Amino acid sequence: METWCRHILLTTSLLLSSLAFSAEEVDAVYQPDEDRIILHEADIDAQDIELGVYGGIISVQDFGTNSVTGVRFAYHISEDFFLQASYAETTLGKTSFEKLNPGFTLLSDDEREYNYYNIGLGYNLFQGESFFSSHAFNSAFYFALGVGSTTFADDKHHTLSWGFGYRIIFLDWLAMHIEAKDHIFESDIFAQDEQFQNVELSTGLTVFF
Amino acid sequence: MYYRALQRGLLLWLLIGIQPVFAEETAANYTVNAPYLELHSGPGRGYPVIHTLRRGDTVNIVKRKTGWLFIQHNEEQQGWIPPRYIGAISQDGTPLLMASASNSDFAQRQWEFGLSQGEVHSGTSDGTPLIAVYGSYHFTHNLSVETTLSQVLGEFSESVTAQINVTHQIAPEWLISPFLSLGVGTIETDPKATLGDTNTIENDAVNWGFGCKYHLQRNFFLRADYNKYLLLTQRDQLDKVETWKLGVGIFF
Repeated sequence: METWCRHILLTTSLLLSSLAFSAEEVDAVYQPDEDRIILHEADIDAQDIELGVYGGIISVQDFGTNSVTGVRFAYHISEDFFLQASYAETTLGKTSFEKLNPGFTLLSDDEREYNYYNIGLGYNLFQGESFFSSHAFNSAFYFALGVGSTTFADDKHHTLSWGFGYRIIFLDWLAMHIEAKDHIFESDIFAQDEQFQNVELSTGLTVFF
Repeated sequence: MYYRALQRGLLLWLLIGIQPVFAEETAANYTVNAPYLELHSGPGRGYPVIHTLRRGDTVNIVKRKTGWLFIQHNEEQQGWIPPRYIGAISQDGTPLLMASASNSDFAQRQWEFGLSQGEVHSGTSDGTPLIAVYGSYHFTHNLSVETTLSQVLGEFSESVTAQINVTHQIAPEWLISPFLSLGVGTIETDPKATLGDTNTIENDAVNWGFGCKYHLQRNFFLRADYNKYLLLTQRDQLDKVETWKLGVGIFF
């Protein structure tokens, strides 16, 4: 049942994105017979790649809230869609049980190393200008959905990540991001399967090139 | 320890090492040949119009972001125009036409890269999630070599698969282009730490599959594929694994 739901969700999102793409293509019935100088897209210098770093806090269920640092890569497909990949690391804190029982440790230091990666699609929801006193900057509010893997306690977990972000473009090549993401996965670290929802708040800088 | 240092170094390099590539300006040999041309503040329809150029104004095409072009008349008057207005610019009286990747370019592509999400079905598990990235090089219109790296994250184990496939595009010029693939690879399976067993199992595998690609727009396409793996094990019986994937790709 769950499998089918996932299939339907995937298919619908891909179909929707393909519809959005095809809507931009206009099929001209009348082709005017006039000379045109062909300009190849590949010959014009492009700034479709975005690369950067980010830092913030991530709340890992039962293990407290910890600082997180990561790298982000994006490839802008159209003015609306972009592909996004990110990788980040943190070190887990202690559970409440460990704090109340000094001397008891649930995980070794190595097992407290927590990292994740995710790849997915982003959609620019609200493009426009943001104002700081009298300065106007281009900005966009975006929605991102991705899949990936979370490693902690020596195990890897298939993870669904979704969230919202705000991109402020200071210069044509420099942007700042503020992002809130939820990473969802299942783990049996406490003996039985349990869903983890780890919320992350971060900010970072990216360059376009 | 070294890993940490390397990571810090990488972050630092990212912060200060990357110098954005500034576009080299082309000579101002284009003119506006429409009654007016609106320039937006950013490469998107949501960004406001900040300048308007008149017929006869000379312009440079400086750079692009996705399909949008950054046009410069002078230091003051510059901005972005959507791809559909490229015909409003001309060179010696002849309007321009932007040639973005077409279906025939898709059929003649040389390199492609993509990512997929899917499911693995085997005798012991059903619907285990899979994430894959791949790259391929096309020798001819029909024949390509493809390398895929995938990660399967199951309830009891984690597997990483690396495979090399030879792919045959049956009809590369079709909008929905079907392909067949045949390949070899290895599957490394690592049982979950919570199960207490930490022995990694490595198997060679042969696989065959089929799928199709659909050219969306510019240099992007959708891809769906099915693969069947035959695991070469020491045991008497052969292990069979099936995968279904759906993803997006870029071609050059």
